[in-house]
Amino acid sequence: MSDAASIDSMPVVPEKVEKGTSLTRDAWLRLQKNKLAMICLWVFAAIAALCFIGPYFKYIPGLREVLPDPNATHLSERSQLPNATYLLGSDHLGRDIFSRVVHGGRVSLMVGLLATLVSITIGVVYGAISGYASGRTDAVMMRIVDILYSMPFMIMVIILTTMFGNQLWLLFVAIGAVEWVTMARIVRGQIMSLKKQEFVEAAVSLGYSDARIIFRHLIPNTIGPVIVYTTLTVPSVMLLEAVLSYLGLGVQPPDSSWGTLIKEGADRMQSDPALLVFPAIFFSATLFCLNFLGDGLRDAFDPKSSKD
Amino acid sequence: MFRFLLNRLLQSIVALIAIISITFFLARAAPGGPFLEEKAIPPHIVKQMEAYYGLDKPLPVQWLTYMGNFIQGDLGPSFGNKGYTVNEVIAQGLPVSLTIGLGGLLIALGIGVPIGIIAAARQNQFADYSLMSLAMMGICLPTFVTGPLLSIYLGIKFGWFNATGWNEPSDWFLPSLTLGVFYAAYIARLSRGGILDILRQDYVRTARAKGVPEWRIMVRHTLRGGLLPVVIYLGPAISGLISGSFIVENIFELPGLGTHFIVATTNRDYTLILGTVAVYAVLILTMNFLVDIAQVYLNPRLRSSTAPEKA
Amino acid sequence: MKRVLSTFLRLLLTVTLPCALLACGGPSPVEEATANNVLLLGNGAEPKALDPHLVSSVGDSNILLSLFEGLCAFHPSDDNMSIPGAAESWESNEDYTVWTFHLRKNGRWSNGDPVTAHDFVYAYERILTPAMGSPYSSMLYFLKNGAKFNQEEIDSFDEVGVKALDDYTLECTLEQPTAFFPELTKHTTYYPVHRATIEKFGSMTDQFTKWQRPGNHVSNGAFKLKSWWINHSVVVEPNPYYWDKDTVTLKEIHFIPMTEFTEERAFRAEQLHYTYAMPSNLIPWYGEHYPDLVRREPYYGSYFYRYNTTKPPLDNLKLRQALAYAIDRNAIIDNVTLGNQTPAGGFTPPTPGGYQPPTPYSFDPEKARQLLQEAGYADGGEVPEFEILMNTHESHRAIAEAIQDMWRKHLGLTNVSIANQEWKVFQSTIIEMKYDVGRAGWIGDYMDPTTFLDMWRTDDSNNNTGWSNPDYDRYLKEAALEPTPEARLAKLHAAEEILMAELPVLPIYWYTRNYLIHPDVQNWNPLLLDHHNYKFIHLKAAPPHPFFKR
Repeated sequence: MSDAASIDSMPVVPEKVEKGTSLTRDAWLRLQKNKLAMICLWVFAAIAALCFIGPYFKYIPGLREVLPDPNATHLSERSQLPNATYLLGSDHLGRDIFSRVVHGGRVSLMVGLLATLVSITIGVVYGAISGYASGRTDAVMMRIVDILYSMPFMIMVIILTTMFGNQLWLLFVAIGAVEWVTMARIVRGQIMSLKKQEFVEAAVSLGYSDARIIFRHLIPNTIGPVIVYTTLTVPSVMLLEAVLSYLGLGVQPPDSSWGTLIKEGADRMQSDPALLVFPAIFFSATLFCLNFLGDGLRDAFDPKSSKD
Repeated sequence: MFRFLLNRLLQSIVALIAIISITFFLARAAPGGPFLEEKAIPPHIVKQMEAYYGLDKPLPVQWLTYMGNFIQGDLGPSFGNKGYTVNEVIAQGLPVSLTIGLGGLLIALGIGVPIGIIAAARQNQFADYSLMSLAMMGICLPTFVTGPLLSIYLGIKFGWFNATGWNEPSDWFLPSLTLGVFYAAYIARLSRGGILDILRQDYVRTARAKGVPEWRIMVRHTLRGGLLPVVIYLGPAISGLISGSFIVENIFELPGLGTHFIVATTNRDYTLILGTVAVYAVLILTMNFLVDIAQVYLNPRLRSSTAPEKA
Repeated sequence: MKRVLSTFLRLLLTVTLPCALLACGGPSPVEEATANNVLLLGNGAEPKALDPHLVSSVGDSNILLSLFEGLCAFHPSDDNMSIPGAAESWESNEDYTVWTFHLRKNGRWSNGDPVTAHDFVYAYERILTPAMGSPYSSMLYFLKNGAKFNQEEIDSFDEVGVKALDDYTLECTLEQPTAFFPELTKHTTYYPVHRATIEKFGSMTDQFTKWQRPGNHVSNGAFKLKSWWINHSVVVEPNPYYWDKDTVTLKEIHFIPMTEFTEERAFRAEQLHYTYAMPSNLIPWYGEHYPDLVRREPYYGSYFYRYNTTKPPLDNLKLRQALAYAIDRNAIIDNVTLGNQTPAGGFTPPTPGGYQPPTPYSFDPEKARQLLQEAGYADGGEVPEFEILMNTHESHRAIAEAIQDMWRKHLGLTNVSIANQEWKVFQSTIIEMKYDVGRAGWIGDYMDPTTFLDMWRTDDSNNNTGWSNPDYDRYLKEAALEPTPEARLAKLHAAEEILMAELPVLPIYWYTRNYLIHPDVQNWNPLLLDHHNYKFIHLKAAPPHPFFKR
């Protein structure tokens, strides 16, 4: 890059220090030094692997018994605590809770991660453009956010499901539509304060295009709040999925997701504690891992931390 | 500044009209009407009822009529609560939702901000991990789990509070706590992150090098900028606390606006849906407006240049 | 760090302790209420109106039952019996087509005005006037020309079969012989309204007026409206002018709208005397530990699935029957609903007064498989996809999941799915017949099989299955003209046999009401229709119950 030298000489252009191919590798090296983050990464990988591979156990003779059909009821063996047959107990219809948690995890993780990704992408780009543009563009974009904020979400979902039926893409649209707006506001706030900093003014004076400034200079500097808010979005997306499934969008009975299992468990917590406790443990473990992993990633990717 | 305020007010009014209009047509597009009951009402009766409430007129005419009344502050009759106007229903419900929402906000800030500050000051130490884990519990346990648990333990087992209802002065506490612990986790995360960002800034390093004590750095140099993400989040949080309280209102059986909104939606009580949405919209628009101002105040860099730029 | 935590804890305690002490010291809300003769009732949902001509739901009519009194009134322990209400006595002609009611001279509205026969005529005119748009006006189609007037086929109310012979004598002329007409006069739709009050706040047919407000509301029952806070409570207090006011011992009744989960917690915290319902999963626990607090009483209702008979594969009668034989209803009741419901082999619940419905459908997997073969499917996997549709509710969901799995186990059906829908979406899907199998429940309005059987007539607005049978329609018509009650019930039985043979519905169970009741409540008796005459209920502080330890 021809202009690299001139930028590097300026002390307040942090992201330039990391420029080049080494950014992700540096981050990965730094992440590996963070023990907690690494433990969380492996625990999360284990949970995810179990949820995505588990459903295929039924084709393997030895493992079939560990994860029986999650929807097969055994009414006479309902509401049991963990035992040899039901590793994590059985639910109110005598279904294997472990199996339901594993099968439900696939849906929840997929929805949680993909829908979050979708909403974060929209939110970050939208917020960054709005914050950078300011003036009339910003005003219009932010009023659109305000309008979306105020829309009665339940009615929107009801209409969408009656128009299009229960479809996966609709689930992502519905979740994306609500979750990105807060992200957009947070990123916009960050960008507005960042763009007054010297490195941006330097980039402007070098004649870089707006797009380049937004995507190369500003957005990487918002990574802290973005990662923090992302780890907060995942759980709300997973729980939102449960609400949507009750409105007829997403997982439908007898299939499960962590959100619907926790909802079922909450309604029966006094008679079937296992139905609440075990899905909640898986759910919480995943969120804890994502949370500390997020903190680790944030530290690892932080442009400023390289100076430490 | 005055021009900025006026400009912003006009924008908000346009947004409000857009929100009401879109909701108006959305509500009508949803299947089932207010007079669809489990035991079917004969069609000729439904026609009479629709005629009585003016629902038989063409939709654009209804919309114009509604907007005309809306501007005059008349939100119309409620279909689901016969004999009450939407204005009256909202007047009954809003104070309840405001009380538990603001109570929840106080609890969320009271728990979230200190945890965030301590965690940031002790980054990657035991205190950081344990406090942040504690805060995460608030998110991992959704309100439909914490609510009944708090009601059962603090309400029934210990008998400290009423398990449900809205009769005694202390009845705000359990619902607010349920709402608060959920938002506390968000606030703890955001404030920790924000403070960490500032702690890495050069001027903080300079202060440290000069030997300024840690607590002073925290109070004088970091809090104002470090809490910026929290402040930005307060807009969504407050509107969320007040409008999203229906699960908590349902768990504790509170006569708040959230319950009205959900019941209105299931009843297709069009006027009440619009009324509650309008209240929420005004709330959200105001909150975001205040947050924008606070943002400028907290960020000295913006302060000097924002006003002319916005106008 | 430690210091911060302890400071924080101390802060929390200083905030919570005072409130805690306040709440802890005094008597519980129920103890206090009992001492003051205030009855705290859980009542399901918020009432939509307190106007007897506008309500249609069970919760609404519970409140109206305390405020108003029909010509006849509910007996405290036998709902097949009518006791004198606004009328002191009544008689009919030989064939039960003309009924004469003699009103009591000391009947008074809650503002002191006398209750006269004209009030009833006015009320019946109001509910039947088309412009009123009363949702339940069809209950008055028993009156001669009631239907015609309501459907604008005749213009003059004078032709409708109700007349005030003098101030205190009311004569009702009916379309058909109706031996149970006194039963009907207990229903909310037959309650009188106070003309002067209605017309003070609007015209006769105004739906939306302020007359229902506390302070404006005038009623003729044992109680009158004291306050109404939406989604919080409706409070009634004794009507000082009520003719039988000495029987009334309660000072107030609070009707509190609550969901079953909240109700149970409120009951445990001694904040309610009575819960309208309870979470099914807790019924066995209460039954085992505190059987004296939980009541399980038969309720005049039927839980069933509708079949869409116009659409393959459920247009196939043999398949519908196979599905009905493949459900183990006892297993569902013992393990899923948990509330002592009665397995329904037929549709109409057994009715006091001599109606035993045909109940051909019991659990018989052998027969089910045989019928599946006859339906043309060698194996359950061949049955094309269809869907069980339900409105979103935890208990409906569990039942549907159990049934789906029974069909899979006993018939090998692998293509059955379940779908949730939001309440109104669900209702429109059913009405528009865009479903395959749809959940349904029906609660009887009065004690007669016709309240269940009428809905399956051709083109009845509650049919929604596409099923129709001219013989069925004819039997119902003929039953109405039978001279004796026995012959009439036999005709109805024959009609229901047709219904069961052609099976547009899948009967599952007959309702049982499960609820919690505080030992302080006296004279709360099991009633099949669950219509309690509140003037007979009283409160007496019972010795402390171990369940409510504080």
